[in-house]
Amino acid sequence: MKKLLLLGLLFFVVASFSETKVFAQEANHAGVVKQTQVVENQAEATSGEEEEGELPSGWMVIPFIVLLGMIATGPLFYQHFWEKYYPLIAASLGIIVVLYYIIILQNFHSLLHTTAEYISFIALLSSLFVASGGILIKIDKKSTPMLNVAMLFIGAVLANIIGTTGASMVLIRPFLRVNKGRVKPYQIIFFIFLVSNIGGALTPIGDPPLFMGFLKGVDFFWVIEHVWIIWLPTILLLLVIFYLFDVRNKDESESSQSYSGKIEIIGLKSIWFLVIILISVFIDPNVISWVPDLMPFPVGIREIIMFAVVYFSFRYADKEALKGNEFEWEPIREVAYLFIGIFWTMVPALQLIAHEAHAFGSQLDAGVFYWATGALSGVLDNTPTYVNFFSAAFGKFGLNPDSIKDVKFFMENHSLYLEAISVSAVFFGSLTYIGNGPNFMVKSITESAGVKMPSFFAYIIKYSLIILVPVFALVWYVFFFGRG
Amino acid sequence: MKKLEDVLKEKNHGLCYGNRILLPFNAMVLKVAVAGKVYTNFCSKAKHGVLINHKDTFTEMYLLDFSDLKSELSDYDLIKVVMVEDGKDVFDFSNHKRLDFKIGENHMVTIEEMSEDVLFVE
Repeated sequence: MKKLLLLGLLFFVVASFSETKVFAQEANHAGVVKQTQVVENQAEATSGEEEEGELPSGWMVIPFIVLLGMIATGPLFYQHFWEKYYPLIAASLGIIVVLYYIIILQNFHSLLHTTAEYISFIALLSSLFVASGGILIKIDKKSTPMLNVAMLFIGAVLANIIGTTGASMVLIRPFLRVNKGRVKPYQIIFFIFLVSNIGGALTPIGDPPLFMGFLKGVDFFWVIEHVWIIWLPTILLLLVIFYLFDVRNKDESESSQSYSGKIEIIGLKSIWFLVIILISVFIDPNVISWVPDLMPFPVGIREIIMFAVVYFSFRYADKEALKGNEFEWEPIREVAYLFIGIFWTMVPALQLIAHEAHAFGSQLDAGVFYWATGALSGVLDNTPTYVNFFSAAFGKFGLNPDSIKDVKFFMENHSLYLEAISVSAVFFGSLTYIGNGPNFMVKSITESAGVKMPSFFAYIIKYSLIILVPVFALVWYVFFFGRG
Repeated sequence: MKKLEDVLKEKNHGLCYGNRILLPFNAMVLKVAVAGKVYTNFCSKAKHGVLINHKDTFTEMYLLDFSDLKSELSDYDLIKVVMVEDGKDVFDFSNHKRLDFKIGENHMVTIEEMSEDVLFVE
């Protein structure tokens, strides 16, 4: 950890020295942006030329592919090696790209921008993770299919307020406890589908990919305005399917037990920390004009508040809640290490994808973006996938995804593409255990409670292919087929 | 050799060295859950999983997926175990004891009957 911090500091110092160059490039970008908004074709040419000059070698995508490949295969095929060395592997692959950009391309702007996005990302995730870990909900009710449906629906809504990670952390234990006498793997898998993934498609807090979109300039309420019409029928359809499964579960081995019907929440004070996190999301110079921009530091006021919440919410958390939640740092530590590698290694991939999408843009409709983003979100992590296809869609129209003005233009004029990318990145994250961070956390908590979960491939074959893929195909047919 | 009931009543502790836990009674282990892994197969002599040996005065468990339990488990991580004391009818569910072990300082392992608050599905 210390080594990584030192490397980060070193990178930051180098980046700070290049401040003049950064601002010069930004001014250049701003010039390009103005042109794009006046005449699109003219802008395409200008932006395209600029991208050509900065393009990295195609070989530099290899660290990104290696890292994502190892994230997918490590926990399955060489678990012990992976658990021991993943921080080193992620950091080393990231450093290769960082050095390439500093020494060969002398492009500090992309690295500084990416590092700032990483810090925002990890600040949000870690603060939600710790604050929600201090809340323990106890529900003393008899498990019924309708109660389970209600819990899953509440979880899906809650995921938009405290994130899929937070909602999963807060609700998985009450969900398991309620179903103690009749718990089956399908119940947990629907929990992963609805609470850990699909539910969080309505706000940038809901799922990390959407937060990345927000950081790039997508309006906070744009997502809910455009996606609820897809979200609601998908959630309802999956709840109906879950009900049909659950109503056939006649295992009631603890039916003789009496229930008080009480719902108890321990650690209520941690809710205030969640409120602080929610408010701090908006403390951004792009949202509120008087908020100071701390450039060239890759952190803002928002991130400082979120990191303070990490410290204080753990320090003042209810110890009984932490004990009941069996709180541990490892899940967020793993995310922090892996994502510094992902963020740095994906810089060349983003630039190349945007360039290729610009070249082959006419062949890519919204349906292609929906399936391509979705397919990769399922097997890779959905956050880098979203960012890649976000860049690709901008490339198709010759826009710059790092320009706030271009993002606003894209939201207004090509919203179908943004809907397709947003929905599929979030929804398809539920296809596998590795599609989204909370999936593995839920699996791990469930197995700690003594419930054996399906293997990686059994999850896909028994549940994703049979239940999710037909539902997602229906979403595509109704909302994206033949459009864009 | 001590009886499990006495160990729980007298709050006797076990011992932990690296990935090896020593329990001051003899019992048959049915299920172990720790750090997101569930183990029900104890016959294997493979490099991974849980290996259990019954000695004259104690039971020893090797959690082979760990090298040092004290440093690898968090303060809130419990080792959850379902056991049946030697000599008791394994087919009678009322003999199934749900215990949790917590690794403490000086190699000590606290052994407690699992409280209702601890989430565990046998």
